Amino acid sequence: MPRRRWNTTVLIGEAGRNLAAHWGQTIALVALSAIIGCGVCLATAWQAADITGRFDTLVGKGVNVITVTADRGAYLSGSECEALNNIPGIDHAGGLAPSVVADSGALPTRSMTIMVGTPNVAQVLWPELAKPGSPGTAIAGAQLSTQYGLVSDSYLNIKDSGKFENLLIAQVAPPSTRNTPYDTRALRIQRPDATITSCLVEATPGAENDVAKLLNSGWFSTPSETYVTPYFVDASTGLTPRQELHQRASSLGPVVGATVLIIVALTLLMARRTEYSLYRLLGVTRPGLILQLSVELLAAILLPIQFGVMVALVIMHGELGPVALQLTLLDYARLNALLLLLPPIGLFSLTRNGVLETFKGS
Amino acid sequence: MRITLTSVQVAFGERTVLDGLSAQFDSSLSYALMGPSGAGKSTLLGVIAGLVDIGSGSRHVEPTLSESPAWVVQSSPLLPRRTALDNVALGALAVGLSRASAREAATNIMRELDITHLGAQRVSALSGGERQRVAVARSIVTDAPLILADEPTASLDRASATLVTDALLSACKLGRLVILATHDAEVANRCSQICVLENGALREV
Repeated sequence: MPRRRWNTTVLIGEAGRNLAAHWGQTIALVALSAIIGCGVCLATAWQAADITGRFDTLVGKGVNVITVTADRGAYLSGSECEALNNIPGIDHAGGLAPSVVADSGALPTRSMTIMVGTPNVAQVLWPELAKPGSPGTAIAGAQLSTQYGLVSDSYLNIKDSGKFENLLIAQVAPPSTRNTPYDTRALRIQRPDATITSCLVEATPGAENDVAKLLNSGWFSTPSETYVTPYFVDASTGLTPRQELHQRASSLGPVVGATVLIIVALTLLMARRTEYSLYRLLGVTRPGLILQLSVELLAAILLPIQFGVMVALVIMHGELGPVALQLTLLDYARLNALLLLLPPIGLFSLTRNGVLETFKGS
Repeated sequence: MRITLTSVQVAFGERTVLDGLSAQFDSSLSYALMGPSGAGKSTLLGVIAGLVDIGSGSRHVEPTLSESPAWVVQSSPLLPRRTALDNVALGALAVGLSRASAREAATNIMRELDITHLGAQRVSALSGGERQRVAVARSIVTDAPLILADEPTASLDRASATLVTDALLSACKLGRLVILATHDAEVANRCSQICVLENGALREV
C-alpha cells in the first residue's frame, strides 16, 4: 500500500504541539521529573557526604593507623620504622620511644610530658602538621603552646632529672584529631635511627589490610615477637566506609525514581493512545512514532531532570567531596540511562494487543 | 481512477464473506454500499483499500494508487485537545506539506465544506456531527484519490447526517472516488450509485 510522507520536522513539531495541548499533564510531568531528578541527586549527595564525613572523622581519629610494638617492651629499630615511609600505601610512619615527665623551668610547680620520637611520627600524632620534625628540635602541642606562649623557633625551658634545658620549638602543632592529650605535650625529635618502643604507621585509607599484612610478614628484624594492632578501633559500625557506600539506601534512588516516572509516563501515554493511533492511521511509521514519543519524553521528563540535578548541585555546592560528587554523578547517569528505556517501552505498550492499530482498516 | 474487482472471494475460516464478487468503481462518483449487518460491507471496503487479502479473483487499480486511501469511520479519531483547523491540517501534513502550506490547504477545504467557523474551536468542544465533518475535511485534504467511509453517519441526527454527507459528496466534485457503507437509505439515495451486498455478491440498484 502506498505510504504517506511525514516530514521529521513536522513530527517533532507535532510532539511539541501535543505537549502544549495537554499542558496540565505536561506541567505535572515536568514538575515531577524535576523533583525526582533533584531528589535522587540530593539523596545520594547527602548520604555520600554523611558517610565520607564520618569516615573523615574516623581517619582523623586514626582508624587507618596501625601500631607495631615488640614483645615485653623490647626496642624496635627506628630506621626500619622510618623506612616504611617509602612504601606505597603508607602516608606516614614514625617511632615513639618512652616519654619523660619534666618540670617547667618557667613555672616550677607544673610538670609536662615530653614525648620522644623519630621525625615522621610527628605527622602521625598531628595529621595536619605541615612537615615532619627535625632531629634535635621539638614540636609543641597547641594547648601547651598557648599555656607557655610558645611560637615557632622559640625555646621551652624544662628541668629534666635536675638539669635545666632549653628545647627549641621548631613547630607549633595544630590541634590533634588523633588524641587530645597530645595537645598538652611536646614531642622531642630524635635521630631516625634511634631505638623506639612502638612504630605508628598511617596507611592510606583503604590500604590498611595490605599494610597490616606487610607489617605482619616480619618487616622488623627484632628477635622479639612483634604485635600489629589498630591504633583506634571504630566501635560504631561493623561496615567499612567502602561497604557503607556500596550498601547505601540512596543507590536505589535512580531505580525508584525511574520506575515512578515510567509508570506515570506510561499511564499518560495510554490515556492518549487513540491520538497515537490516529497518527498511525495517517501514515506515521513506527520509527516516526518513536521519534515523536522521544521528543515528548525529552521535553517533559529528561530536560526537567537535568534542571532538577542542576538545582541539587547548587544546593549541595561546597558540601560535595570528590567521592560524594562521583556517586551523585553516577546515580544521575543511572537515572538517565534507565529513562532511555521509556520510548521503546512506550511503543511496546502502545503496540501490544494492537492498540496502535485501533483505526487501521476500520 | 478506476478500481475493478473481478470474481473476488474472501473467507474468514469456514465463513465465506465475499463470494465471486465483481464490481467497478470510478472516480468523481460516489457509491453507497448497503446490506444487512454482517453482509461484508466493511470487508469489501478493506478489499477495495487493499487491506484485506483476497482468496481468489483480482483487484485492479488504474492508475496505481499514489496515496493511501482516506478513511472516515463512525467515530472518526481526532486530536481532542487540538483545534479543528489543526486536525484538518494533519491530513495535509501527512502528505509531506509544510505546516504553513498544510494550514492553508486545510483552511481552503474547510471553506469548501462551509465549516470555517469551527476552525479555531477545540475538537472536544464540537458536537458529533461537527467532528465528523472535520474528519471528512481531513480525509479530503490528504489528496487521497479514494475516500472510504464506514457508517460515517451512524450516530448522527438527520440534520448532522445530511451535513456530513454533503461534505463527503463534495469530494466527488474534486475528482475523488467516494465509497461509503451505510444503513441509511437517505444517505445512500444521494450517492451516484447504490450497491446492495447480499450473499457475498453485489447487486446494483
